[in-house]
Amino acid sequence: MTETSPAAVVENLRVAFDGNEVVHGVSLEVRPGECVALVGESGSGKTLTGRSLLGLVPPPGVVSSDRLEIDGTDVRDLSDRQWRTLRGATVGLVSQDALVSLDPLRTVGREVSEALEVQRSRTGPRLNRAEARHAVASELDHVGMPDPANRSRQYAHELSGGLRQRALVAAATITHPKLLIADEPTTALDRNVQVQVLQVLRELKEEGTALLLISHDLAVVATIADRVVVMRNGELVETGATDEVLQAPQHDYTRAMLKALPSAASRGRRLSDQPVLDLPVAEVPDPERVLVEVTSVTQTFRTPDGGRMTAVDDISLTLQAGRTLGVVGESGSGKTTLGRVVLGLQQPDTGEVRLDGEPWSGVPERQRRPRRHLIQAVYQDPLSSFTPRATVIDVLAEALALSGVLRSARRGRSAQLLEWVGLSPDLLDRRPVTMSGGQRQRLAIARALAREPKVLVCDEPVSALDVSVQAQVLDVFSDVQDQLGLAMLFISHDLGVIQHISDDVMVMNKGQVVEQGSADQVLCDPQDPYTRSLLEALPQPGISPDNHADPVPDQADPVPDQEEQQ
Amino acid sequence: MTVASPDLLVADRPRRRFKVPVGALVAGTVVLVLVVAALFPGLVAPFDPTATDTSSSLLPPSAQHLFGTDLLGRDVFSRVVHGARYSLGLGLSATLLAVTTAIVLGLLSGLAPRWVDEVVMRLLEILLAFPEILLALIVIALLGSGTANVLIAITVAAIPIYARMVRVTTLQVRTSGYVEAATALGQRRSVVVLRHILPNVLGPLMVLATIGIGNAIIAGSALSFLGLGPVPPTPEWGLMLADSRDLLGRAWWVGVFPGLMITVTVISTVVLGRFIQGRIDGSGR
Repeated sequence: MTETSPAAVVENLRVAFDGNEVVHGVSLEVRPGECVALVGESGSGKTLTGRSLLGLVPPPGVVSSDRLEIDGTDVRDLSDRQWRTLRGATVGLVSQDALVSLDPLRTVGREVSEALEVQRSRTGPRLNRAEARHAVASELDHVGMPDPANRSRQYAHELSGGLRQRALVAAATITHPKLLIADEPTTALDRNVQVQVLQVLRELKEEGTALLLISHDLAVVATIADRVVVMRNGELVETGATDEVLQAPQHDYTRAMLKALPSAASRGRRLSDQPVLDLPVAEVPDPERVLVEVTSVTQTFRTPDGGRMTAVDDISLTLQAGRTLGVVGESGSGKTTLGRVVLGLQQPDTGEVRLDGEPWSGVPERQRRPRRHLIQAVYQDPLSSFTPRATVIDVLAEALALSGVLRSARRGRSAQLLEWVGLSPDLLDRRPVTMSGGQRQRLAIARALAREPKVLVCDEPVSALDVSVQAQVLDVFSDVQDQLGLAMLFISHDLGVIQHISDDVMVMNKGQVVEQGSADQVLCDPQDPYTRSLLEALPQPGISPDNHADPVPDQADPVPDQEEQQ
Repeated sequence: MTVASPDLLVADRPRRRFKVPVGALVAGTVVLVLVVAALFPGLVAPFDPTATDTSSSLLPPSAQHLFGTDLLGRDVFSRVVHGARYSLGLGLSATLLAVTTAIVLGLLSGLAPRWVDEVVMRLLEILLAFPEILLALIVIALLGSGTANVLIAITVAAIPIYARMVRVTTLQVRTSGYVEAATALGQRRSVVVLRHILPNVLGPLMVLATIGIGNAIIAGSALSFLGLGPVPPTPEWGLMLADSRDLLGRAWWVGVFPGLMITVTVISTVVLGRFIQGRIDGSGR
């Protein structure tokens, strides 16, 4: 296979918008049967590079290059009409969100057969219905869709995320393109489903398709790519065989990116280069003191068809000062509902929540309010947790006012809070809309700290962030907990994040706890089959960024997470 | 009309980076002139609007009497200028009253227990089932005619639509991330409502209200036309229109100019309202 001509050649690719160059001279090559991964954070230009190979750079983008070839054809000066004959037939696209990419008013089968019909209308006799149906069914079967004949009669919204993504892959592969561009094909999917979709892509690759995988997720890349191209700010940073790049990265950026990946191996280690935060040592609660006690809580919701859905089923947990309980589960497992119950925003049907020894659930909000400062929240989307049009100082001053800080002192205290979480006080008069995702999340943490809590409930607080920003925010959480001795409930779907930050772990599935215990116990020696399947689904890139970290954390001493740094 | 030299007024408006469409610019200028006329009619109008002079009855438009004179020799232009106060005043105050009541009802409906919501909404739906003007007539029938009663009638007729709007936005805002965040922060319920819910309900409501002013003006003029509002010789546009009914064949200017004013006023407020709406929607959060 190695001597075949490349399916795609890109040399010195530049993309500019209104004279503003955003991709600066990228070169890469994809051979048949090979998977090249284009890796980078948002704004790195990886998607634009992929779009250039489809002739789909949005206007007013201007593409220029020394060479841009697909399957031996120079595509630099193709007309729209010529591009149309290439797309589908020679180069296909699988995009991120299948629900958006599939037409809601057409069946999956129609969607998949369309590409084939378009190709046939150019090259040969029209397909008759039976042939088309047969071709669709066999392609759906090919990408691992169970019961393809029936599935092809369903609509996109009737399929699960994984099946939808497979339909999208089938729509791209039914014409057997030489080159398949997959732009974040698994990002929106749960881990288990991710693995299945990756398997489909891997099989296509083995059958000889050239695969250009665009992803921010190094773990995904490690499992499938033969070669990796790392991009940053529109520039090619490093390229090489996957193993070499991931095991022995040459470039600082790649190294930092790998080091920023949270995993079991990164526990107790800082993920980013930011300095350790300097928070005032307040009254630290006695270590291990039980701050939250949840006893057999059950929460159900009425469903539209009149039935009841159990979101949280007989769950008990404790949160101790200075310790982090990581709750992990797939979407719909009840994690968020559990968080809301702990926060006292949702009254459980049965069971009890106690906060710092006193009843927390089942009492009127009026009684909870004076103690709300004890337990604070950080959400996945910080922006939506700030009142529209409020400025940073508005956000912080509200919390400070509730903590009894006098009006005259609020500005000074707000500036101080920003510094605690590593933000510049210059931001005080900015609006959160104008800040980056990482800054917003730090602001949300600062607001929570303004109330001097003892417990922090974090619901997917880093899920929307790029790897390097996620690393910084995770370090903020570690520092805050370390120095203030908070108890944390940390909810995430990302097992790597959970492995990195948790002392104790709880695995949830369909509202129930399937396994609960110390992080080492649950994650290194899982007893439950579901936990095992989750862990197996976690791609194991075998990354060793520092070249010395061992994959299994120090078994003897899991608790003092951050001691090395102190 | 006095809109002839708007340059100075336009220049007074704050300069903005974006381009204002011509329509909105004209509408804004008209509204501005109307507001001046309503506040300081003496500045614009050359004659006393109620001073009769039988010797100059039904004179056609001329340099002295821009819009001509009516049967009693009153200057139609001066009457139209003074009339701006009644029409605009009625439209604005009715809308303001309606919006205020609607905020109370809408918030109550959106935040109180379900049964309160049910009761309030059913009542509003009954009111909504009647056309606005018919509803206003029912109120007049109950209260009797007169300027104050016309105001109440228009207000009552406008409340249901605004209240529904407030209720719907309240329901959306109530479950928003920032309201939950404020609750989790330990904020008092009343402060959450005033600081986090109310301001975010107000935005869309204000836009609807700007457009609603036009409706209120029409309703006010219509009721006056029917003789249910202000009594002669008040220079109210609807009333002037009613007075001109028998004269249209002989002296078209007596009726056409007040009618034109109603039309221009309503179109201008609606155009301006739509423009503001577009600005708010476009700028996002």
